[in-house]
Amino acid sequence: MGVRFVCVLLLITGLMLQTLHAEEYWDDEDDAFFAEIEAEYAAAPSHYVADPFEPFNRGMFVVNDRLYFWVLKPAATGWQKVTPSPVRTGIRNFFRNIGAPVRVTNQLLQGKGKAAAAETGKFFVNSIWGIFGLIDASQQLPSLQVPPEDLGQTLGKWGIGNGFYLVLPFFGPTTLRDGVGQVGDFFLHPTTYASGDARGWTAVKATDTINATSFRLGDYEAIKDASLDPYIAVRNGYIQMRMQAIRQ
Amino acid sequence: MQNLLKIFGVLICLIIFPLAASADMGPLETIKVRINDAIALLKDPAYKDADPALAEKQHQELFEHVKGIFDFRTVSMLATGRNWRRFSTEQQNEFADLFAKLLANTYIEKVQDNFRNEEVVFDDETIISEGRAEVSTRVLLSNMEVPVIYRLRNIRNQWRIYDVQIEGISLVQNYRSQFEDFLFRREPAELIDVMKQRIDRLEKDRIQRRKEGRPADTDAEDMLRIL
Repeated sequence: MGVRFVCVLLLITGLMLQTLHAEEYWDDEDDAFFAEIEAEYAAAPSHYVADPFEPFNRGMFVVNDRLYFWVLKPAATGWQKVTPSPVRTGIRNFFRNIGAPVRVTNQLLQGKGKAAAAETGKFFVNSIWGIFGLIDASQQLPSLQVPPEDLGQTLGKWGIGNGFYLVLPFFGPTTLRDGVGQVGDFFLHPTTYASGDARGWTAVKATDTINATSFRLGDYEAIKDASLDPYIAVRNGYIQMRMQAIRQ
Repeated sequence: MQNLLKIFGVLICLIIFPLAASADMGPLETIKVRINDAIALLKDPAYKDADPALAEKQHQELFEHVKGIFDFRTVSMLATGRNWRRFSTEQQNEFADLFAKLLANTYIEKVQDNFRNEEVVFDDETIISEGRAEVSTRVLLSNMEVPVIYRLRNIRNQWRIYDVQIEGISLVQNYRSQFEDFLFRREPAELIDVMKQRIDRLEKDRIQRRKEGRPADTDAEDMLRIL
C-alpha cells in the first residue's frame, strides 16, 4: 500500500511540476488580455502617418542606407580609431551645448518657462565650468536636466499634425511638420551663423554627424537585421519617437 | 515508511519553494532579479576569452535566460494583432519561437559585443490592471541615460515581459506595423518562411564571423581598406 501511495504522490508531483513549467495556458485568458491591449491601442493616439510619396521615400531610404554603409560608417569607424574617447565625448558635448538657443526658444514657445530657465542655466554652467561646453559639467545638477525641445515638437504641441512622412537624402526620416521645424531651427542654430558660408556649414555639420555616429555604430545595423521591412520599422519608430518627444 | 514520506515531503517542499518564492515577487523585483542575472552572465569571467566557441555558448545561455523573462507567445500575439487568428495552433507556436530567435540573433550579439559594465537603475513599478504591470528602468551609458520601460503580464503567478519601450518606441507596436503590412497581402505561412530565412542568414553570419574573429561591423572595415 505504501509503495502505491508513494507512486501516486510521485505522479501528482510530476503533473504539478509539469503544469507549472508548461508554456501553454488557457486561450480564454489570452482573449481577455488581447482585448484589453487592443482597447488600449485603439484609445491611444494612432501611430499612423500618411505616406503618399512612399515610392520616392523608399528610394531615398536606399540612398541613405548606401550613404551610411559607404560613407558615414567608414568615416565614423576611422574617426573612432584615431580619436581618443574623451576627445569625441568633448566634441559631442560641445555640439549639444551650442544648440541651446534652439531648445530654449522652443521651450519658451511651448510655455515651459521653468524648463527654459533650466536649459539656460545648463548652457552657462557648461560654457563656463565646462570649458566652452566641452565638458557636461551640469550633469551633477539634476534640476537642470530637462527634455530637449525643437520646433517640430512645438508645432506638434500646438496641435499641428505630421502632414505626411518624408525621407530626405542625408537628413533621413522626417515629416512635413518636422521638416518645416528643422528649417526654422536651422535659423536658431548658432553654427548657422558661425560657420560662414555653405561649405563651412557642411564641414561643421559633417564633423558633428561623424562624431555622433562614432558613438552609435552598429545600432542601425541591428535595427535593420531585426526588422522584416526596415523602411516600415524606421517609419513607425520615427513617428513613435516624435510622439513621445511631443508628450514630454 | 513514515520516514520515507517525510523525506519525500521535504523534497517536494524544496522543489516547490523556489517557485512559490518567485510567484510572490512583484514586477519590479522580477525584472531586477532577471536583469541582474543576465548582467552577471555577461560579466562571468568564464566567458572572458575571445574564443568563438565560448562566445557562442554564452549566446545560447543568454538566449535561454531571455526566454524565461519574456513571454514570446504574448509578444507574437500582440505584434500580429487581429492576424493572430489566421495562424493555426502549430503556426502560432512556431512563429513565437522564430520571433524569439530573430530578436535574440540581432540583439544578444550586440549586447555581448558592446557590454561595458553598464549599470541599470530600476525606478518604479505601476500595476496597470490585475494581470498587467509596467516597470521603468534606466540604462546608464558613459554619458547619457536611456529610459527603458518594460510591460509585464502575469502568467501563472509569474511576471513575464510582453513589450519593451525604449525612448518611447514600443517593440510590439513597431513589429505590429511591419507584420500588418506583410499579412495584409500575404499568408502567415509565408511570414514564417521569411522569418526562417532571415534567422538562418543571421545565424550563419554570426558563426562565420566569430570563427574568423572579425568584429561585427565588417562592412565599414572593408570600406576602409578600399579607401
